[in-house]
Amino acid sequence: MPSFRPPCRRTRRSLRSLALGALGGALLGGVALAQSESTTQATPACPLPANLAVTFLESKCTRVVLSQPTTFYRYFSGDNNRYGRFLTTDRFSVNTDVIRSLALHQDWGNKAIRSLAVTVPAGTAVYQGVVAPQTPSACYPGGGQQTFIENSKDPQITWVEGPPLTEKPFTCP
Amino acid sequence: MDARNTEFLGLIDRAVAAAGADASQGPKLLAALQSLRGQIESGSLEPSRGVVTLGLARHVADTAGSLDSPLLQAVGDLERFYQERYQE
Repeated sequence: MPSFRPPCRRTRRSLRSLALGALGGALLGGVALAQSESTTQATPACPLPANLAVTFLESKCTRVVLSQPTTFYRYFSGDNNRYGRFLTTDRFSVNTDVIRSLALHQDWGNKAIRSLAVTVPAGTAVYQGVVAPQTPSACYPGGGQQTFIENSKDPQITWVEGPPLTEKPFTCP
Repeated sequence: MDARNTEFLGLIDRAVAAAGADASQGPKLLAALQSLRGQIESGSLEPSRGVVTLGLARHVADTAGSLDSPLLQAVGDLERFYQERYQE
């Protein structure tokens, strides 16, 4: 059973610097996803189709190929949001912090009261950046670390439930 | 209604049609699209200031079976329109 610790020792600040500043790395990264129309082409700021890049702050992200198995985190509240392609390196203990930092609009139903340690195998390409704000941005400012994986159904990925989060009522004016 | 909003509503119609044809999506996406329509029509939609997103692309991309689906294309078009044309 994987340990429930961040395997990546980068700080949140350094990850943001990586995401916002590593244009060279982004340019070197290949685009692994199909592009059907010109509007979905990758931009130099993020080697993902624009439909996916937009989920990152300022559509900026960096492609990283994992050199070793790496554990990320996912926060969820039920079976319908337990699995998915969006992960984070950030650890939280209170659900409302997750909701704000990862911009989890409550209309989708994820109360972020449970956590998963998601270990992704070496050799996997991940896309990292900062969570973009979502409307209403006063409630969902984003700013947390965001990691995107193309294939969340890879059988080599392990999903291990961790401790529950402290649940506080989330209010949005 | 101005041309910008008319175009925006047209993109919502496209997304609604794509969502209806995508078995991987439940009623929440349609509700979100209808809510967005209401905000545009009432003038209450927050300006994007070029950085705020609608959250639609992330929701679809999180769980969609394919990342090359017409639905992801449609909500991506909505996101880009919002960021580029709804800045103020």
